[in-house]
Amino acid sequence: MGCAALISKDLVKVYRGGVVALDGLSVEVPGGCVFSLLGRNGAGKTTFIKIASTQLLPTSGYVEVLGFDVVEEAREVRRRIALVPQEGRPAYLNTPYEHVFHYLLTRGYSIFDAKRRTWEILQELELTEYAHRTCSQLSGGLRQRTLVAMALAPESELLFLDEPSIGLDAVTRIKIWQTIRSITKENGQTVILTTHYMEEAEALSDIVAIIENGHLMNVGTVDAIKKSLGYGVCVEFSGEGLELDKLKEYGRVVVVGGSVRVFTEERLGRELLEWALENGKRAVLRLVNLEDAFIASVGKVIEEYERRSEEIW
Amino acid sequence: MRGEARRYGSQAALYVKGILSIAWFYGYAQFKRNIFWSLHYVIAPLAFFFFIHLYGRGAGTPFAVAGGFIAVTLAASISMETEAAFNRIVLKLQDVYVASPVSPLTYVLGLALANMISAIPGVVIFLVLASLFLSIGLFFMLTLAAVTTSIWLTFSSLGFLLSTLARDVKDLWTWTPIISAALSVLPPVFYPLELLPGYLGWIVYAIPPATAARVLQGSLGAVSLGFTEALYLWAALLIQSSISVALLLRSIRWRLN
Repeated sequence: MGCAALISKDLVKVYRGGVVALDGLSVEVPGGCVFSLLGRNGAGKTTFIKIASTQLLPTSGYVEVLGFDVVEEAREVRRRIALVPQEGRPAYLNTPYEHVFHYLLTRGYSIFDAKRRTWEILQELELTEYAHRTCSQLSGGLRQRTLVAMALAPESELLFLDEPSIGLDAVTRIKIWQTIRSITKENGQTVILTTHYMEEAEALSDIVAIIENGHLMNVGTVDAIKKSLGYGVCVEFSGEGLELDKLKEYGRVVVVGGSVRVFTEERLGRELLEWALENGKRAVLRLVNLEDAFIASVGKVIEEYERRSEEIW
Repeated sequence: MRGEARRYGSQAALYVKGILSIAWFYGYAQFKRNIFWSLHYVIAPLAFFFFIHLYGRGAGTPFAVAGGFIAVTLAASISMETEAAFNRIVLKLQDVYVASPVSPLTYVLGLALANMISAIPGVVIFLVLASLFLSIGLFFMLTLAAVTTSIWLTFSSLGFLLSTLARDVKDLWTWTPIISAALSVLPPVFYPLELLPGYLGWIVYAIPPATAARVLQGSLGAVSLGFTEALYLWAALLIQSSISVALLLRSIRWRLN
C-alpha cells in the first residue's frame, strides 16, 4: 500500500430538507488497497462515494482524491477514477462489447487500443461468450458484470464500486472478487467499495470502515476490526425462550432478528455451549467474524439512540 | 499509461471522439436493432401528410412536406428529455460518465446526435415524398439542412433541460409527447400562417417550429417570402437556437448540490 489515495476531513453532507447524510466523516484510504465501506441502508456510504467521485458537492469539509481536491480540481480527479453506480443497469439494446468499447473511446483510447482492451476485460470477466448479445437478453448477473467491466477496463488509479455484486450469484460474485483482488495486486489500483455482504468485505478488503448515521464507527484491517470487539468467539443461539440475563453473565449479548449472539472468551464460550446442550438449546460456537464486529459497532449506536437496556437490532 | 485518461491528439479531438462514440452507442448501435422504434417519429407526420395531400388535392402538399420535416426533427430532438432522464434515473449510466473525463457537453451532444440518427428514416421518407410530388433543388436541400439543424439544437437543449427536472421514472414520459404534439400541430407548421387571424402573426417568430416551417414553405414556393421577412425568419431561428443552447450551457452541470 502506498501513500493516501483518498483523504476526507470533517466531511458533512446535509441534503435539502435537513437530512444529515454525513456528519464530520474523516477517513484516509491508502493507495493500492481494497477499502470497504460498511454500513446499514442510509448510513451515508453512497453519499460518500458520490462526493468522492465528483457527483455531489459536500456541504462542508474536504475530500482529496489522488492529491486533487474533488471540488476545485474535479477534472483532474475524473481523469483518474471510474465508477460502478449503485443499482446501475446497462443499456438494454446495447451489447457488453459496445458498452466497454464506447466507454474506452470516450476516455480517449484509440480504436485499436479500445478493441484490444475491451476483449481483454471481457475475457477476464468471462463475458466473451455474451459479448455481442444485447443486455436485454442477459441475466441480471451478466448485466452487472457488464457494468463492472466498464469500470475496470480503463485501468483507472481509483475505482469506486458502489455495491458491485448486488444480485449476483455466489459463483459470479467470487469471480468478481478475484478480478478486484488481482487488479489491486498486479496493477496497484485502489478500490473503494460499498457492500452489504460481510463475507465479501472480509474476503476482499485490506481495510474496512464501518459507518452509521454519517459517523465513522470503526476503521482498520479486518483482523483489527474483529479484535476491537474485545472477544474471540461467538456463541450463536437460535430459537426462543432464552434468558438474556443468564447469557449476559458470559459476555456481551446482541439480539439480531431471531438469533442471539453472545460474544465471549473461548473458555466461557465452551462452557456456554455445554450449558446450551444440557438445556436443549440450539447453539453453535465459532470464531468472531466481521459481521459480528459490524453488528456490535452498529448495535452500540442503536442502543444509544433507543436507550434500551439490551442491544437489539 | 494507467492513471490518466489516454489522450490521442488534442483536447478537441478527444471531445469529438467522445461525442461520436456516445452517438454511435445510443444512436447507431440501438437503431440497427430497433429500426421500427424510429418509425414512431414519422407516423403522425405521415398521417398528416396523406390527409392534407389527399384532401387538398395537391395544393397543400408543400405545407405537408415542410411540416413533416419539422415534426420528425422536433420529435426526435425533444426525445432527449426521455433519453437523458432514463439514463440518469433508471440506468444510472450518467453517473458513469460523470465520474470520468467525459464533459457534460460531450455527453449532451453525443445523445443529441444519437437521437438524430433515429430521425433519419423519417427525413428520408419525406425527402422521397418531396421529390415525388414537388420540385426540390439544392437551395431547398441547403435550407432544409439549416432549418433542421436549428430545430435540433433548440429542442435537444430544451429536452435536456427538461430531463434535469425529472425526479422519478413516472416523470420520464411527461413532456416529450406534449411538446411534440403541441408545437408541431397547433402552430402553422402543416398549414400557412395566413390561415390564422392577423393578430396571431407574431407566432411565426416566437415558436421555433412555426419559424422553421415558414422558411421551408418559402423555399418550396408554397408561400411568398419577401427579403425582409426571410431575414427576420432566419434571424429568429438563429436567436431561438442561440437562446436554447445558452440556457443549456448555463444550467448544464455534472454535479448536484
